[in-house]
Amino acid sequence: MKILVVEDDQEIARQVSSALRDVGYAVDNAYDGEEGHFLGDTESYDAIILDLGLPVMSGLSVLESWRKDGRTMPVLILSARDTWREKVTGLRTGADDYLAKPFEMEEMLARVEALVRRGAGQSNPVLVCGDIKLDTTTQKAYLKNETLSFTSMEYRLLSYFMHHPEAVISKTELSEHLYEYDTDKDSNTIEVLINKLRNKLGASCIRTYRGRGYQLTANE
Amino acid sequence: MMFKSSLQLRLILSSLIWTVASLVLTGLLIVSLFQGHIEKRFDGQLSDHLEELVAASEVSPNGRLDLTWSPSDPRFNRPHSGWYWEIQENGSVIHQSNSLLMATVFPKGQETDTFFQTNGPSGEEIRLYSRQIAFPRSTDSFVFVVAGPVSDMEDDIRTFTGNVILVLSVLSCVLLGMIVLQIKYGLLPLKRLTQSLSQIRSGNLEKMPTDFPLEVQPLATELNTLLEYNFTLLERARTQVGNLAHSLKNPIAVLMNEAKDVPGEKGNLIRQHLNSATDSIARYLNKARIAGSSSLLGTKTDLEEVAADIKFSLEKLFNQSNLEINLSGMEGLVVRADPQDMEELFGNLMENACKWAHSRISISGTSQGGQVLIQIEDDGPGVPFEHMQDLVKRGLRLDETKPGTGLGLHIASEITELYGGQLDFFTSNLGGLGIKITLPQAL
Repeated sequence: MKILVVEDDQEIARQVSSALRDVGYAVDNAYDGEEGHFLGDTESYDAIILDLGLPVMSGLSVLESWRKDGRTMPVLILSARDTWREKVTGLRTGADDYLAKPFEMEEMLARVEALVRRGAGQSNPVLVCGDIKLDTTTQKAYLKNETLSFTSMEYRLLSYFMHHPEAVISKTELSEHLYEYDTDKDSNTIEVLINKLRNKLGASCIRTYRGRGYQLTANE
Repeated sequence: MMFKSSLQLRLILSSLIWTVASLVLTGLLIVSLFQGHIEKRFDGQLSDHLEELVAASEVSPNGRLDLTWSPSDPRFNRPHSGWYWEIQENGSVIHQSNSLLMATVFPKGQETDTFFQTNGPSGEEIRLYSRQIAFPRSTDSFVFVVAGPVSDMEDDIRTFTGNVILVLSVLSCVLLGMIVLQIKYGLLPLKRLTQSLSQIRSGNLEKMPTDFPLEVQPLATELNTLLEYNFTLLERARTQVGNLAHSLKNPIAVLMNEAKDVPGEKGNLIRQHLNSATDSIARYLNKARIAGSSSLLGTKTDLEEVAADIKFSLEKLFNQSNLEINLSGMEGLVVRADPQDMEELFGNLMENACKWAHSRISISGTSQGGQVLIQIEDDGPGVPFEHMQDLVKRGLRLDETKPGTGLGLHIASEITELYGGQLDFFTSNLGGLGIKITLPQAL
């Protein structure tokens, strides 16, 4: 699961990003409207956190432009502007949620988590696929009620699979949602990660479709 | 409309006074001129008749005066016709008209060669002309007297005066009508000014039109400037407040997140003070943003639009809670208030309802007697009756388990109060809290 944080205040951007990484998200940062707009337009994100008062291009025009181009990823506006007029405008422009500063980090994380889940078409915070359970609020995964532990990359991969159970997902898509913008996207590491997951969850729960991708499935 | 304060009435009354006065004076002048003219003509007639008498007179060698013919005018023969003549010799009548019936009209000792007025034999008023004339063959002097009825003259004058009054009355009526029309036409721009102003007040017009006459336009322009100034003042204040909010809230957000990890007494102290700073900022920024004056010209707000906007927003913000927000009876509910204030009012109240509702929120509106009534109800746990009056207390949170600043209801009640409205609490039929908002309706 990958999140884009468009926020010009370096400190807030750093805090938000590190909080997001702590709960298992890959995070990209943009510090002005134009950069944010470019990343949101070209990369795949599972959710975007967008400030409104941005340099170069305002948050609202960034959002408007994304929606006009048919980009449907969930957007959370995180702004110091908290009048209802600004909330209504933001939400009518196409934002999915609005959080006013100052904010509790937990509140922000809960809302992002909900947005990511809804974006993937899941309504329950506890994702289930066969014997595997992932509680997105605590970031804990269970296999037949036994707690499993993962490295952060493994968790990201599992989380993405759990958000899209039974779907065949290409290697490119996986790497897009696992790796941050400036890291090396080595497709071989995906295979390594898949194998590690198979070792922990059981080999049959992840199927390989040659040339198409991988599928997390309950029908073993 | 007060009599003395109506410009139109003032103009009409003053025009009435000078028109009537000048017409009355004109009438008097014309009548007196005419009277003089009639008198002169009458006197001419008398003197003509006298000349005729003199011409008919002949003094015989024995000194007797005889008339070779009698004046032909038949009125001298009709008894007491008012037309008389007589000729006196040494104070006794020697000849007279038949109309006199032996009476005499010329009093003894009356000065001759003048016109004067006296009473005739039947008491009627007559005008006499007498002249003393000496004839060559007589040593006596004769007094010739001719008289005619004053009533003849007065009849003419009365008829004429009547006509003059009639004509002048008609003229004054026409003039007054024209004056009223002229004043009404002249004052039309002022009336339009008042109408435009009341339209601005009711929010149907944004600014004064610019097509007023030269004398009125500066007023309209000045008014527009004032309106604009008012508006920019509010906008500027709001922008400044927004900027202040932005520049304060970012560092506070950073500090709050950092302070979370500071352990012990020190951490508590920092967090506590940050929280109180945050609360103060929220409270005063919210207060500063309220335009809050129904005397602000040219603002009105359609509550249906506001409620629909807030409903749309809340449905997104409370997406997970599966809340059903129902709007009913909000069509055409327009209040004279700043739109942003109404957004804050409804936003805070409806958000509060969403926060506590189990699954349903109902917003219903009606209008009666110049008031708009809106009820916001939820099916949440509600508030015990004895605590309802505490709801609007600043910063008071009856239940601290839900997030919030405790400011929402306080701000809502402050906004309603500023607009001369009211906020009442009751227990809803849905089971939760009901809030009734009363606001003055816009016409």
